[in-house]
Amino acid sequence: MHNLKLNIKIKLISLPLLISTLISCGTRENDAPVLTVDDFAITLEQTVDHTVIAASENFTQRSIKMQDAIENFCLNFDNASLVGAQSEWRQLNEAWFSLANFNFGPLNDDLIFPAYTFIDSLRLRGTNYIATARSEIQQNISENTALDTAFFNQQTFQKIGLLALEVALFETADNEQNTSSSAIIANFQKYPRKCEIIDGLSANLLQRAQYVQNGWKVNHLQTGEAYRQLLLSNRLEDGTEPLNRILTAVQEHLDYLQKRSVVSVSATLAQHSWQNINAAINTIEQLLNGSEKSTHSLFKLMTLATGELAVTTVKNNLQTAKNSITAQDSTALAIALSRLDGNFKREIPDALDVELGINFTDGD
Amino acid sequence: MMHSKISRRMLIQLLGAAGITTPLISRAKESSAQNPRWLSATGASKEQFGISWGDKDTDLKKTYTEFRGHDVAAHPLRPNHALLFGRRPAMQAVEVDLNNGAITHTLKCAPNQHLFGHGCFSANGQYLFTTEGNIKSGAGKIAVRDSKSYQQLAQYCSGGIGPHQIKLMPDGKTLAVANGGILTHPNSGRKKLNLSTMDSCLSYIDSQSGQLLNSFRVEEKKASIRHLDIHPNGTVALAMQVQREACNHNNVVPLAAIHKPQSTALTLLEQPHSLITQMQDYIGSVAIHPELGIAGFTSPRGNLAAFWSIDDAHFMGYHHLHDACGIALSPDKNHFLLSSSSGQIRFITANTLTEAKNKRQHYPSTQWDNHLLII
Repeated sequence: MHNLKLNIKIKLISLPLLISTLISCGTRENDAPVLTVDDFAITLEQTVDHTVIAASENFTQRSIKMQDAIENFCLNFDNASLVGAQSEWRQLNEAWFSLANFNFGPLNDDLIFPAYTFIDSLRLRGTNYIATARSEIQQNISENTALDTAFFNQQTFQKIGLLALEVALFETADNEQNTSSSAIIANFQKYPRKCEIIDGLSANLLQRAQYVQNGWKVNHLQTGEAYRQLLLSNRLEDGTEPLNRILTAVQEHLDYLQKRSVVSVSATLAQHSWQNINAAINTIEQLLNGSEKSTHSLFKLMTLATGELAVTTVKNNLQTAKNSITAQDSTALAIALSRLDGNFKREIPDALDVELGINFTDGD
Repeated sequence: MMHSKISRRMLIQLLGAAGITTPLISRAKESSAQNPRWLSATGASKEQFGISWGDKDTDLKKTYTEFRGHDVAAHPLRPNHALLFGRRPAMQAVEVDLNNGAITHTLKCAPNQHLFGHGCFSANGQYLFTTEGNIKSGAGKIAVRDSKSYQQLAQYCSGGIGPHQIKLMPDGKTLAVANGGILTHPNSGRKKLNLSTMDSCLSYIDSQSGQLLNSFRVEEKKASIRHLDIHPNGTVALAMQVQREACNHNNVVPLAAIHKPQSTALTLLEQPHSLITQMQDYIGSVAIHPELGIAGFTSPRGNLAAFWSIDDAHFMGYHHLHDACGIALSPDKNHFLLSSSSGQIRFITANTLTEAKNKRQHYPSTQWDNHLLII
């Protein structure tokens, strides 16, 4: 049998049945590329390891650096250490926006108390809880409650996470809400409990980052198995196919970024929302194009399966999104995000023949 | 198709006898408890659209229809026959003989009308009520049909626009109708034409006279009441779909509600917010367990089924299943059955709301559509 040009859709999920007969066939240098079962498995594995789990690992690493920066600031109370802590928060936020593309598995394994809401309260439904975070910090400064691990573990999602840490690090905890470095440092010096607050908040974030990473790599929901393994071996409890799960999660993130106008409402004190969106888009691009370590990628699979058109379309929309970020043009960004959202609903799953579900886009 | 060949007075007399349950129906229920069968619209393309049915012991059977079906109803007077209603906006439904898969009747809408995908029979099985829309005016209609010939006998107003699911109340006389409030037109397919003015409601209609008895609305104007199930005590569980693109806010909107007999308002199932958020503004189907007082709701966009008490509206549990939409009670009432577009059938033990994993059925090449019927 000659090489199979996959200009027709191949059911990747049932690929083993179709391809197993082809693997043993020989190839010549000028033959069209052949898509094999191994290609799909390797692509999926590299996508998960190099991009998804890498995003989780990076978030954990940035959380550790955040803790270190806070410890340094609370030892020194000087401008350099404050700028350092604020810089770490910005990088942590970017790491979060990369990871937030993959809001499934350990990040979202509890329907009532999912981890992601305790990291980013905005994500739940686009509600900005900055007033709640401010009020909580002021209250905790003035009270005598022990600000220990248990205290932060018991807090509702609106009161902790990245937003609360941003409020504490980027403005004074008083009615002035002064954002100058000198005022913020003075505020910390005036209220020593504020250092306990940022230490507790960052420790809580690290704890959740580690929970997510542990779920991906070691033990998911006390199953004794890593979520990575459950995903790659197509043994998710709800029956979702692995690629379907990943593509749907990214699509939902794009939908969220656009519909909730995240670039306008997030990271307002740190003035870092454009960089956050950029991080999300870069990670999506890496998801599709592969990382430097990847030998296989979803774009390559798409090209093999249906040709260049779908890949070109998606690449163009990624570039448009990047251009809008560079120009800080929120209208253009919304359009680009919407187009990418559509790509994840149509072009990408169609090219990979992933069935997102018959009720997915047009229910009744 | 002939219209209103029967007088309103005659219809009232005929429907007045509709409370009698025939021995035929009772016998059918007894046999189904032994070996329940699942039926649903299936397929994801025109070539694959149809109705499929099977049970745990036999291979799945399928009749192709060339149109996408929506709900399925067992014919009460023709054992082993089921109706597949076309998905909105559709012009036809088909009756299928489950013994051999033959299409035994095709129901076509009256000119200037279209179906919305659901229907129900009168208590004596002699009449079929279908939710329909007037193509010119957009008004919601209930067509009353002879259940054997499917000839339209009368037509009522549904009490709103876009009537979707319809069921008969336990009194055997009153129809409960979920008016989605959304105007569509066959020429524009499923495009929603009136989002700015949409008005959804639950309406109660006298099946004998067509009189609108009462109607109820939720506060959120962009919440479209689409599906319902009814407890033997008359409590109605409602499933909604929020038209988020028409909302001017980002608030979480409850997607399920209860209406109890004599109550002057709907009770929203409002908690937990995180679960409702996960449902992504969309519930696709609902089924009530009569003895336990539990209503199960499915959200294919949220990949889950969720259960609330209809007595006190408290949240009871959930189950994850990818693209789950069909939900129905097993004939012995021991399980809620869930179906999904990936061909899964799962059994959720009604008492514990945990899955009986040993009962799983999977038809990998079958895509169960929105609704599941167990007979």
